[in-house]
Amino acid sequence: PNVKLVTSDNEEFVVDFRIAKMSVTVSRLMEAMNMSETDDASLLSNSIPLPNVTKAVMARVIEWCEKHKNDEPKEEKENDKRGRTTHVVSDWDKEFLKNDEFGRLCQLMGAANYLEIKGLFNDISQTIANMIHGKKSDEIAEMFNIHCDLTEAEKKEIRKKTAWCED
Amino acid sequence: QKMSHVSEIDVTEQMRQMTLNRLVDYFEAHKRDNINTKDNCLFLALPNKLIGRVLSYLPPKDRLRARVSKKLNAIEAESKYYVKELTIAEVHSDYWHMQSRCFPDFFFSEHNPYSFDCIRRICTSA
Repeated sequence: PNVKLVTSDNEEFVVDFRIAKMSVTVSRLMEAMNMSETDDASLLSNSIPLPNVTKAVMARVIEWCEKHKNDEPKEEKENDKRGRTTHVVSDWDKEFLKNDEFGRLCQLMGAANYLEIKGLFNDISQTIANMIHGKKSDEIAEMFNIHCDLTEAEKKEIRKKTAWCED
Repeated sequence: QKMSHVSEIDVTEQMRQMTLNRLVDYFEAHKRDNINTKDNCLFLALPNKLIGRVLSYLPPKDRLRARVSKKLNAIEAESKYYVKELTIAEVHSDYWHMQSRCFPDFFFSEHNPYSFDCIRRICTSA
């Protein structure tokens, strides 16, 4: 059975019920609208509005879901022994996310968060973290096009306190 | 350098009439507008919670280095550190003479030095 998803720019995506269920948000909405896998009429007569996702981003989300629809649900370790969150991004996912420029990656992250697709969300968080890892402050600012609005005093304070890790 | 933004602006009749000084002022203002636009940095346009999430994947050094704007500095201070255990030990004072380029306020954990500032952040946000 298929489910109709409608994006903010009014594009309709018809996806498999299983794909739709991968989003906790969509899953909840379907429940609220009494749409069920066994009731074709309920699926045909309703569509799920997704006002926070654009057509271009939705297409990428669905592509990711198509690849992962048969995945076993896996336990994510919240943190490792070095005291931080970790997530292993598979080779396919690395290759998949490589195609997105940074701006699109941020939009995808926003969409994955809104749609509550944990796997995709973790993949993107880890990918952006990897981009920051090992870079110096000015390199990070340049990469993300961040305009530094810190006052000279704040900058001095931060410089003083990060001197130990700038080697 | 000031003229580098010309290509982004549609030249209007009004601009053709401007003196060079006014034109330069116009471009400067336009440049400032661009900088102040939130969309200019898509990463900072994300909700704080999501930026904090990205930071949580990073080791302390990277997190501290990522404080390149007021917003990132505030998010870093608020977001959690996940620390299983923290060993605080006194280090022999001779060590500081050998490491004179560093600040004498370090802690060691698994052979990594951490500054007081970092430890303070870990302790308040762990």
